Formats: sequence, structure tokens, C-alpha cells
Amino acid sequence: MLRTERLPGNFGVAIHGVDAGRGLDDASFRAVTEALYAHRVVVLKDQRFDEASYLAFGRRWGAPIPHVLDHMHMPGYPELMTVGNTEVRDRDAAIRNGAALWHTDQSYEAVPASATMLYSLKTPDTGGQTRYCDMVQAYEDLDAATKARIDDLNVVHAYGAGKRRAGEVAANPLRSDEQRARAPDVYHPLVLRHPVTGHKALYALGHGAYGIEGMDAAAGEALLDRMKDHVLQDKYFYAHDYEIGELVIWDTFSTMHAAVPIEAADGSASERLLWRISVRGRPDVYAQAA
Amino acid sequence: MQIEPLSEALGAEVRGLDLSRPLMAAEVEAVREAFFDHHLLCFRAAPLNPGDFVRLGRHFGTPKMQLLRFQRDDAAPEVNVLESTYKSPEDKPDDLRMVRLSGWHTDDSYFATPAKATMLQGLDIPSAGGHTKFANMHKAYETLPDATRARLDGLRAVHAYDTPRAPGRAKTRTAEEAVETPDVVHPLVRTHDDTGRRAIYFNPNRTDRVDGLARGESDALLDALYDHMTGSDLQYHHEWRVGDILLWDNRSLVHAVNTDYPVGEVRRHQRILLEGGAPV
Repeated sequence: MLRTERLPGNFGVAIHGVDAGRGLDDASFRAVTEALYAHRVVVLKDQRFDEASYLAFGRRWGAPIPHVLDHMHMPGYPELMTVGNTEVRDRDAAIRNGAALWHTDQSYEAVPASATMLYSLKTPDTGGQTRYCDMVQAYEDLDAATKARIDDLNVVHAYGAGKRRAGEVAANPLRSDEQRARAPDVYHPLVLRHPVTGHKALYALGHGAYGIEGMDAAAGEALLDRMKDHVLQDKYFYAHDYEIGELVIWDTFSTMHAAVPIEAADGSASERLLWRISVRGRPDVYAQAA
Repeated sequence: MQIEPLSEALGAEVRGLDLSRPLMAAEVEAVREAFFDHHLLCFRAAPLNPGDFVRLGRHFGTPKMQLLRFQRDDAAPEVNVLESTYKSPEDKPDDLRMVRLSGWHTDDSYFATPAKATMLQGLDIPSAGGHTKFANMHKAYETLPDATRARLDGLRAVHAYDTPRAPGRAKTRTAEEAVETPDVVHPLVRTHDDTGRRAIYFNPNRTDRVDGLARGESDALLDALYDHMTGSDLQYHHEWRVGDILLWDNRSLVHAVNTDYPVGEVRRHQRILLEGGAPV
């Protein structure tokens, strides 16, 4: 029996009583997707997945994206990535904290992610939260003149580009010219209509956003700065503290997020380990509407 | 003193022993022998005060301090008081398998040197349900196909304070308690240090994975082991009466609770754990 409960912040919802590892029927799965579009972040409690069942569940949301950072893939599972501080490579802070800046998953690609999920296998006793920013509410709170001015603008994005704020860490760096060649400039609307619900939201003002189409560099950067000032307010934030067995899913078209930096693990009380899947496209239960 | 078996699988009731006075050496020796034969002993008694409970336990081993500070008895800190009452209807889910206590486990396996035995006394018992189920891990090991036994030989498993394999979440630890509970690795088949018998040593509430296997492969192996070792022919179910004392061997048994008991009826036990060595 599916039971929902509001998360302790301004948005997001927890769902109890679903066993996604065993597969959900269409009605239950659709209920989870609807909860996501209504609340932007959904936490499925007490889940148990292995690599194969996790990937099968991820595929219901769309097409899993093999990350441009190939060296982060899980062996044998290019669409899965481990995130955390337990592996040898995670001793490098640039890798371990490569998501500790405001960003929108795959906004540096022509077809960005539509949803991302993290499955929590190890949680540190302190730290390791993900902070989310509500880009729908932030858009709705703009005055009418600002909305009219920005509604038709396009933002130019590139992996690693854009200004960082105090406390933000550089994105996990690309390693090779070949990876750089796969991450050219791309354009996305500044105000995006959600592909399923049609709701408007400010889109992807963090990592990679560095200019506005048709504006000179300084004016574009200044506008992005003003927009980022507006969305980065406490009233739009929710910070999620993971619990073992949680599957956290976020709607990339209505949120930005940032990891809270963490030290490399020193004993299991400080270990953080999550499995990540990012997908493009629509959940399978909306396939007919597409 | 008589020893009456409680089931085909395991367990015996000890009758004719007066627990209100110190036991004599011959009595302790007879109880120890019955303990190795049956893996679980039941003594019918009235609730003991925590000090007397610890004194009784000392006949069979050395009580150790238990992890969760908030459950410790003020006067006898080796005694933890475990309350499993459903205080409100929201505490009791529709799917009782989601209650962590309902998951099969062996006490203390997430320590490098887990307690060899547990002594538990019922203080408050609901009017229905709440049985504790035990399963015999020697018999589980001995009834595995030869090929499976060969496969398990030499495998080691990671035991953690919590794992997503468990049905619900472990109680929150303080920072101090977290430091004391790093992950540990134990053999998946252990040899009993007093009897030399081999047993499956797998704690479904705490064993996260088989060391060195990918998660899918590890889950498949552990799930198959779980199905085998929780077979009904390996089990004894204890229906609690107030005052019952169970002494069981964590090297030989796993246990779980039938969590179907009424909301609002108090279910409370006192527990001591007896020191053990590293599983080999």
C-alpha cells in the first residue's frame, strides 16, 4: 500500500510501501511519476536493488545516459555511476566533490536529462546531503515584466563553463580531448516548459550556463547572475539527508541541485555510496502521449 | 533437573531448577551441556530484577556492554531493556515484513567479536502474537547440497550496522556509537568454538554482501541461502509467557519476531549478551 509523506522542507515527498526492485505495475509507477511532477523530488523509502534491477527500474523513466566521464562508469554497467567517497579515485577532491556546485544534469548536452536518481547504499553520519532548488516556484515569483523579458531567451551552455559562487566547487573535470569533443556549446531556453506537465520553470542557471543568445558576453553573464541571485534563496531550497535504502529521484526540468562537499571516507561511519542513473525522455507510462 | 526438548529442530526446556538461588557447579555443567546439544534453553521463572538477571547470566559467560546507550538499565548497565510495543496504529504497517524485528538475524554480528549467546527475559508480553522464531544454522549447513557447501567454503561476508537488504532501518546511532560500529568481515560458514560443528553465519538484517562479489551476484547467493536456512523444518517458535528466560547460541541460530501483536499492548524484554570470540 503506497503511502506518501511530505519531506521536511518546502517541497519534495517521501513514498513508503513500494518495492521498486521487484518492479511496479503501471498504476503504481504512474503514481510515482505524478508525485515527482507535483513535488519535484521523490524519495522511495526502504528499497533493495542490485545492478540489474536498478537499471531495469531506471529504464522505465527513459533512456539511461552513459555519462561523458566514462571513467566514472560502474564496471559492466556504463549507464550506472557510483557517487561518494569510498573508492580509491574518490581521494581526489575534484572527483569526490565534482557535483558540489549548482547544476542541472546533462544541461551541457543537446538533449539533457529528464530525471536523475540516486540509490543510497552507504550514508555518512554527518554531511553528504544533496541540496535542491525549486525552479518552478522561483519562476512563478518573478514579476510580470521580468517574465515577459526573459520568456523567449536561450542560454548557451558548455561543460565546465560559467561563473561559480563562493562555496561552489569546479565540476568533475573532463579528462581527454575526446571527452571535450563530445561536450560542445549547446542552447536551451532560459524558461522551459515541462515536457509532461507544461509548467514553466527557470532552467539550468548553474554549471555550464555562460551566456545568452543574442547578447554580448557581459550583458548575458550579468542577466544570468541576476537570475541566479534570485533562485539561490533559502526559501527555494531543500537539503536531503540520505538514509540507507532510499531511492531519491528528482525532476531535472524543475530543480537545480548541488552536493554538499565531503571528506574522503575514514572508516565506515563516514562512508557515502550512491548509485546514479540519469535518463532522457519520458517515463514509459507516458509513451502513448509522446 | 530435567531437559525436555521443545521441537525436532532445536531448543529444550530446563525444569526443576531454582533460579532464586546461586546455581551449583554440577547444575551449571548440566545446563552448559544441554545448551550445546539444543542451542536454546528455556527457563520458566518470574521477572528478575536487572541485578539478579546479570548474576544468572554470569554462570554462562561474561555479560558485555551493548551498543545502544539509551536502552541500558541505569543500575545494571550490562542489561538492555528492549521495548517493541506498537504505541500507535501508525507504528504497525500493513506489511509486517517491513518491521525490522521481523527480519531473521543473529545478534551482534556487526562486531568483530560478536556475542556468543543472548539471554532474554519477557517482562511484558502481549495477549496474542509476538512469538520469537529460531532456526538451526548447523542443520541448515548440513542439509545444503555438496556443491553449495563447496561454494561457500572460504567466502567472507561484510556485516554492517545497516544494509538496504534489511526490511527496515536500524535504530539511529549516536556519533559515539557510530565510531564503535565500522563494517566487519566474517566467514559465511563458521565453526563453533565449543563443539566444532559448522554453521551458516549469515545475518539477513546486517550482512550487506559477500566480499568480492558484484551486488547482483552476492544478492543471488544470499537470497538462495536465506530461502534454504529459513525452511520451516529448521525452526522452533517460542510463545512467550511473562518471566520466560531464553538463553540461545548466536553461533548456531538465527531468530526473528512474529510482529503481529496488538497495537497498544506492551511488549518488553530485558537482555544480556555474553562475550564471544571472532568467528572462524
